[in-house]
Order: sequence, then C-alpha cells, then structure tokens
Amino acid sequence: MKLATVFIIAGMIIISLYFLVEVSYHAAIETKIDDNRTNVPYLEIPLIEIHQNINNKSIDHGIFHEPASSKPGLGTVVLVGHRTFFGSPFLNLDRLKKGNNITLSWPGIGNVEYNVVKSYVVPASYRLSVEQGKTLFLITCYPLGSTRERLIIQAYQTRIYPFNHQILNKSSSNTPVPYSLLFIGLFLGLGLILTYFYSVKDDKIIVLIAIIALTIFLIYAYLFPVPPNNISSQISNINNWFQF
Amino acid sequence: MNLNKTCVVLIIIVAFAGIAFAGTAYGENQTPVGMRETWIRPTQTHVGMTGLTATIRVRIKNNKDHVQYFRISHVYTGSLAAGDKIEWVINWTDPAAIKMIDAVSPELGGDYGWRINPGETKDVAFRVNAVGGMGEIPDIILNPDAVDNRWWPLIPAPGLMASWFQPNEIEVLNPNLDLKSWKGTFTFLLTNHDSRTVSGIIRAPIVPVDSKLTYSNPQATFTDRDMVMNSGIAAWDVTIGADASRWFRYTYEWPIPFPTPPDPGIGIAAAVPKPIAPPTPTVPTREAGLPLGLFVIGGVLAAGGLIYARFIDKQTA
Repeated sequence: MKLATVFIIAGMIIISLYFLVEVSYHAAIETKIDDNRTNVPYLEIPLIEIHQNINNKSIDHGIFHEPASSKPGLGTVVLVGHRTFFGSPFLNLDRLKKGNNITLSWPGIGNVEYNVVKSYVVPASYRLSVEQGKTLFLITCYPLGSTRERLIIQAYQTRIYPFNHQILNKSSSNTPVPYSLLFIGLFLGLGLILTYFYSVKDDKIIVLIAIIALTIFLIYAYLFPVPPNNISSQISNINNWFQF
Repeated sequence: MNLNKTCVVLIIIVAFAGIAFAGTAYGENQTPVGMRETWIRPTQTHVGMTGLTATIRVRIKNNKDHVQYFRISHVYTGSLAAGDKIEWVINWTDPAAIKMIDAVSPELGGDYGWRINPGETKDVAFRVNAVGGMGEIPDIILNPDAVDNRWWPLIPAPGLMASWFQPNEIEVLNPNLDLKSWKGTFTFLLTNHDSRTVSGIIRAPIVPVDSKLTYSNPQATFTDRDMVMNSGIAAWDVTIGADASRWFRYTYEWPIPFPTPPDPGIGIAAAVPKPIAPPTPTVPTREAGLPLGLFVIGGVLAAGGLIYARFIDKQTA
C-alpha cells in the first residue's frame, strides 16, 4: 500500500468524524422534533433564517437556554448556539445589526419581541451578568471555526403578545429536511470523487472500500444516533493539542 | 471490474439521489399549508369603548449624577396590533410638568415632563385621555394576530382583548431612572351599538403586568391570568341593552403592595445592619463551535495524498 493511500484514508477518517457529529445531531433531532411553539420555546430571526426550537439540555442539542438566566419577559435571557456543526444555528449571527428583530416564543408567556442594540466580541473566559433587565443575549463562538472568542448579540425587549394558533399551525406543519441523509450522501459523493481521481490503480479498491466502510459507519450513526457531544469533545481536545 | 466506471456510476447515483431528495424536502417545505381549509372571519363586536382615561401616579428616582427628565408619552403602541395606537392628550399634571424643548408628538400638544435632580426621588401624577380611537370613536383592542379563526364553530371574541405593558419598562429605556412605585386608574365607557341586548366577556383595555388589581367598579367577574404572563387582566361578564352604555373603572398598582411590617415602636433604633448585596450572578460564555483545525488537516491529508500519487509518485515510478 502506497504512502499516498494512507494519507487519503487518514484524511477521510478525520473528515468522517466531523460528518459523524452532524449526522448524529440531525438524526437525533429529526426523531424527536416538536415544533408546537405552545409546548417548546422557539427562536425566530427571519433576517438570518433562524426558525428553531430552544432546549434546556445542552448546547449540543441546538439553541440552548442558559438555565441561570431568566425566561423572556421576566429578566435577562441568555441563549447559546453553535456557530459551526450541530446544525450551526448561529452560523450567521454576525450579520445581525442594530435594529434587527428577534422573536422568542415561550410556553406560558407568548411571543416576546426584541430589538438588537449592539454586537461585540469578548474573550472566551468572559462571564456574562444575568441581571441586566429585560435583555436578550445571543452567544456563539468567534471567529468562525475557532473557539478563541465569543460573539455576543445584545437585544432589548420591545413587546409581548400572545400566541396565534393560526400562524403556529402553519409553521409547525413544515416537514423537516432530512439533513443527516444529505450529509451521508455528501460524504459518499466526496469519497467517490476522490477514488475516481486517485491515480494509483492497485490501491484504488482499498480507498473505495474505506470510503464505503466509513459511509456505512455514518449510516449506522444515523440509525442509532450517539450523543454528538462525546465525539465533539474528543475533536475539541485534539484541536486543543494542536492549539487551534 | 473497472473501478473508474464503478465510481462514475456511483457518483451519478448519489448526485441524482441527493438532488431528488433535496428537491422533495424543499418542495415539502414550500407547500402552502392550510390551502384546503375553510377559513371563517371572526364576527365584529357590537360593543365599543370610548372615554378611555388614565390617571397615573409615579415615584421615580434619578440614579445618575446629572439631571434627568421623566416625560409623558402621548402615543401608546406597546402590545397593540401593528399600526394600531392609542393617542393621549394631557388633562392635568401634579406638580406642574414643564414643556420639553423637543416633542415626539407635537400634534398632541407637545411633550411634557419633570426635571429630576441627581439622586432625587420624585412623586408625580398626571391624567391623560385618549383621542380618536377609544377616545371619541368607539373602538376595541384586537389581539394583534387573532384575525381569523379555524376552530369552527368556536369563535373567540377578538374585539374584547386587553393590551398590556410593563410599568418599569422605563428602566429599560433609561436605566438611570429607577421606578419605585406606580399606580394607574383607568376608566372607559362601553356602548352597545346593536339593536338587541348583547352579552359577553369584557377585558380591561390596558393592563400593566407584574401588578395587582386593587380596585374595580363594577367588580371584576374574574382576573384572566392565562392571556399574558404575570398579569391578572380584569374581566367582566356583561349584559348590556340595545344602545345602552356603562362606565368601567379599575386600578392597578406596581409593585404588588406587601403587608406593612409591624411598627417596632418609638425608641427602638434601627440597629439592623444592611445586608451585604450578593454578587451579581454571572454565567460563562460557553464553547459554541467545533474548531475546524482538524477538519482542515483531514482535507489537507486527503488532497495531499491525491496530489502526491498523481504527480510526485508518478515521477518517481
């Protein structure tokens, strides 16, 4: 087996770990999705196309409500979301500008509207006060693909109004996109293209078998999702070794 | 077996499957929901509110080291439907308010307010009455979003909703002003325009949240706590004759008054030390992203292997 073959297989194994995080994350949320906003807190930022449930379990389940902060309408609300992977809910958070609208739908409270007042970047060690009045903070990592700093969006509460069941039923009837299967297809497609262009004929079959094996591994993760936070913490540790 | 041909066939299959899959998913997402449903419009209410007045007493403190102004707002849009508003004109103020150098609503008589010195706590009162909708023109407050109803035959009474606000929202607008207490008395006249007697639930048109209903005349049938969080909206079960009218008056206080502690008696010094304020709670800004460094290494390894085999290894072979 050529050295180049070892490089390619090692590279694809590393890439497959990132795909594994995404496949596991989407497979997990696709199986337990509940879009009824009267039951589940919901974040809506039309400008950057965020229409997503909020959870109180972990940031690795999507947009996470910091439990030490308040519910909307009652005090300071802190929401944290991944910028990359885990559905990347806050991928485009840096596009929010002063004056943009954010709506939180909260069970037992209703729709709470906020207006962005500023955005700023702080070190990763920064601690945020949760006694800042009726303010919403959205937090994600900065810059993109790094965990060195945090991007914070600050918005003030402007109004509260009750749920509209008509709108809720319209929006909640949307079928979720099966992203996990798309990611598996994307990985397989990339692997096949790589195999096609690989010039060492003797090892081509080895690369193809490795790609198919990794794809089967992803399919297994889709059928039996594992907690993606375990994988991501290992990836983060390795990244830390390399000082990324 | 020609592996190149196998790869091409598999790539085409995966690409087509992906496109078809994504297209289907996108199509499902874009399908207008509710097209097959029968929609009915809510009936308009036969009653209307006029003569809306608000008498507000406020105790407010200036926490800043320079002078601040506390101003009366003439236009309320808070929780009303988009485009709706209640416009107010000032009837009286106590102590006399002074006219501001600028005005948000010059057409309503200009803006008035009170000067509050650094550290000063001031008690002010004022009475305003609505003009236009809910002033002279019988009007209702609509739920901002309750336009249609699909749960036939159960139809809500959309015209009889409440609007609400937070008394201490002034602190959000200007954190230097600290609202100590707030008391608001509202009145309105309910008129039945129909030629028959009508019955239904009427809700207080304006309600502060986090506040207590301390007075209502006629006595509120119940307080609705389900509509808006932390609020008890005064609600009346009314039966009102053809072309008849009825006045309603109600008072809310903020913060919710606590029972007065027993008087310690003359001669007992207030020797209880002030409790030390606990530190402001903070939360860490959690790690919210997966570093892409390793991903880049994986990509470089795979691409490097490909290039190495194609160019360098071939040359050495």
